Amino acid sequence: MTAHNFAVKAAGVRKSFGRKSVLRGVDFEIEPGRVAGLLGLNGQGKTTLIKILLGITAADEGCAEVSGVEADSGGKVRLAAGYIPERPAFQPFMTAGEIFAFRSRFYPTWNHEKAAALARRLGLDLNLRAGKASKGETAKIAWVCAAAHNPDVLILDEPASGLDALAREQLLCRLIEELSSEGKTILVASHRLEDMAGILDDILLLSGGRIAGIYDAHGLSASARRITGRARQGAQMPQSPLLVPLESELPLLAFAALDDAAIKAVHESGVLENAQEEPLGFAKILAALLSLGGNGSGLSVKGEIL
Amino acid sequence: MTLNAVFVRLREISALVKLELRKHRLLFWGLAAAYALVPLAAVAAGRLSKQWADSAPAAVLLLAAAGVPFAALVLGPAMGAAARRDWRTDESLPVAPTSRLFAGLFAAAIFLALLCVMIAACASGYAAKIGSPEFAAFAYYCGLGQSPFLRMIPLGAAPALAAFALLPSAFLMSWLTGGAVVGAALALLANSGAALAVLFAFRINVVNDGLYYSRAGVWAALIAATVSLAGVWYFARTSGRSAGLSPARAAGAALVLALPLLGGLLALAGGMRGLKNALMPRFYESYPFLGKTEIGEADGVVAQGLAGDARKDVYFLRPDGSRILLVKHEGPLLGGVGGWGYMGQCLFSADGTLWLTLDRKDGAELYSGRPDGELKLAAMLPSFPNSYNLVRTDTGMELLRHKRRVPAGKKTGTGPEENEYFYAALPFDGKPQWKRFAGGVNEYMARQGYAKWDTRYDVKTCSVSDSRNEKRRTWRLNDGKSCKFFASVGRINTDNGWLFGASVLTKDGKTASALLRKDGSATVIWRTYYPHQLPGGGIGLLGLTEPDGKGNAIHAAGNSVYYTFAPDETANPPLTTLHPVDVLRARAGLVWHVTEETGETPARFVKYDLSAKKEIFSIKFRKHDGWHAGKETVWPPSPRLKEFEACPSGVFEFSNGGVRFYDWDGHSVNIKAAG
Repeated sequence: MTAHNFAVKAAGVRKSFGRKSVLRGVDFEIEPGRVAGLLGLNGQGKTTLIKILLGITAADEGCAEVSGVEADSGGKVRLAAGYIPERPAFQPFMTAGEIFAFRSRFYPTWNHEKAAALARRLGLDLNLRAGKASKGETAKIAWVCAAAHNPDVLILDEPASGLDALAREQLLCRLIEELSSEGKTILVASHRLEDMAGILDDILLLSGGRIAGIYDAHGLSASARRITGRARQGAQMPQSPLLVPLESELPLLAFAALDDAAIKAVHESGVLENAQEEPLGFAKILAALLSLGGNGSGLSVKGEIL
Repeated sequence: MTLNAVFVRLREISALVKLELRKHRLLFWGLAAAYALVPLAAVAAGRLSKQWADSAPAAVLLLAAAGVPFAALVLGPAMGAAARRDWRTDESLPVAPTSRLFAGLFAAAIFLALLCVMIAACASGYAAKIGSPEFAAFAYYCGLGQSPFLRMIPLGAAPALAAFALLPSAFLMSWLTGGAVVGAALALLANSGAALAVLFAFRINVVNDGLYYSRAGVWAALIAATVSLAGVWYFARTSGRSAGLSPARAAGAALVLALPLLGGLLALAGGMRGLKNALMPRFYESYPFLGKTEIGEADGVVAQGLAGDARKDVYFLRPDGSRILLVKHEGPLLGGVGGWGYMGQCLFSADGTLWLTLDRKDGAELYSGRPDGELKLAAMLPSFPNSYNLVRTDTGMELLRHKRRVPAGKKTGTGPEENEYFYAALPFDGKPQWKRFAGGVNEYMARQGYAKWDTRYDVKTCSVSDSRNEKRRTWRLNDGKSCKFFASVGRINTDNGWLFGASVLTKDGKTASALLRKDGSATVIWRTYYPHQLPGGGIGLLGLTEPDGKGNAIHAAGNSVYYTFAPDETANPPLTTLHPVDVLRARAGLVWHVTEETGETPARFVKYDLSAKKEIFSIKFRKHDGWHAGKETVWPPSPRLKEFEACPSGVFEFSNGGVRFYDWDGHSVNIKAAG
């Protein structure tokens, strides 16, 4: 397998800001055509990692590639990727139309028709000045900018930030779904990916400056279960990497079991009497994953239930 | 890089530059409007009040001198700060940060260039309106043509250019090294290194058209550059950037950073030199080039390119306005600041031959011939650092050559050991036969029978000889005291032989003007009652005129005292009401002189009867409005002041308004209007 089999790749990426070490050796690969979510709590380094992937920030160590283009200070990697920053900003005196015209000069593959069509579809007024645009409108401009040059890879940093539910639905889900169906590779960084249930293929959990795990989103959706029951006195707490205790009040006990092994572990531990399973919502799955990342281990509660 | 890639790159850069231009257009238009308003307001003020008559050229000058550095001072930091502020904007663009940064710099340079064009257009327009020599003269007397001011412009512009380069380069350095503070410090270092290189290594002397360097300066520049390079390299390494920074890239970065300042300063210096070349020679060439002494052999004067003439041909100008071409103008003539002798000199020999020297850029030229046709080129002479004087001696004409030996890295005129003197008899066969002689021009003149001007106050006597036999003479004043002699004024021939006027220091320590005769006798004609201050601090005589055949030798002193002399050469009581500035002619008890022009009073051409003590006529010369240069303190005088030159039939008035001729009866004719 060569490097070009990966649409996005990071190897040993480290970055510190002064004494604060943010990324401590990030390794991951995303295959072409996949929609990956980069999940992590605030301050875990998602934006830093994305900027390193795009060559906006230089890594202290390691290398990053997008579509086989190594990220460097020259900015060529951004030709291969469409990028929506966390807080898109444009020259306030420019209208949306001027912004697209300006951008088209930097991208040989810029498709004016596509830009116009996308803007129409998003209901974006081309005469709208960026300085007077709302957050949602600014995000729409950013979307057109990211997609109009037809990149193979889209990297979206907190694209839902500041958007209302309708806009999230419109922008995130529909567009990503469409782009994905065109075979684009999409990396979405967010601490809330629940709106993207059914769209995400992979979930990259960034925690402690590393990729703590890469999960198959569809597999998780299919197999993740909420298991509830009455706590059995004296039983050992079950152990499994993808088992997360959920908030509950004794004597009731609840777990998020994200895979079959976790489900099995709960049942075999005998910690629950009259255990009942139900499918776990995508939001809960993500919360459980974040919880996993938060303590760096599979379980937030350990030990014997008294 | 393929052609297509180059095209794409150019398209990107042009888009970025256009963006920067658009981002900062308000700042630019604000500056442009302010710059446009300054001269307009000054013109309006000048129209409203006479006291503000000079405000317009002063405002234009101010713009020319300070406008560009000020704009750089504003634009540079503004663009640098904007680059810092807007860093997140358009961060997804596929361009390197350096491209965006340099696009900002380039846009600032375009704005600066546009402002330069605007200032130049403003200055040119104004110069065209009032006449470029006038404007150049104004610039000169405002200090633009003076060495300290010219040097101060690059020096004053250095901080502005540094500011122009500092913020963007700080940003670039931050990007290179990964540390904002370190980057800013390195940028400062790189720019100060460049500034040091300019200020110390290259001492730009725009006045003398020279570019000198000193070893200390070169070392300072090398050290600054080395420290800067080492700093970039070290910090780039230690900041742990994966890209790494090779010494070659570091050197390139430092060079790029230094270029705006270094290039800006050198361009500025070049511009100033160009300005001087463009303005100053025209300014000087606008002066009539005159035979100052003893031109009575021909009725007319030698003049060079009168005001308004596009060409600066040398003519023999007659009272009727007809001109005989003597020498064609070919290429620029040298008009060194303060060195009017560099322009050349003309002198008639006893047989009526006109001798003329002209300094051109590629060498001095010596011409001779009758002033009724084109002169013949007699010889090509080595040019700077040689200068020439035509001298009429007792035996004929000689060409005096003063050669300065200029040590490398030094200015001229720093010591007598640097001077060599030669003379050659005129005419000559083939080429001049130079004979070297010891001593300076002063000594040479003494050998010609003139008194030796000696500023060493400890000498007891003056020395003089009437030939080259080194016959020395000591003068004793009529009070029996010997004099210390320190300034002389010309020599005139009288029935009793020659005599000349001198400023002397008497034994009692007082200053006086005296007449010194060939036989060794001396007469104090006046003491320090009406001293005329010389630039050197002494007192002097303004002029002596030939005896008029009726026993009157005329002597003018200072601006307010006028003496006549009895046949025995004793001074008559001074006439203190004439205020002559120049005595043009004295004949038969009559004197023609010019009174001084002041800011309020126009110059007058006066015919005065000495015996009746009354004016026969007093004609106002044309009044020139506006700024007035101080004639006593600076040379050459402003073209606004008039030059007068007498010939046998009358006097020419040269001014920027044109040329006018007055005969001795006061009738005048306009013979050349300024173009």
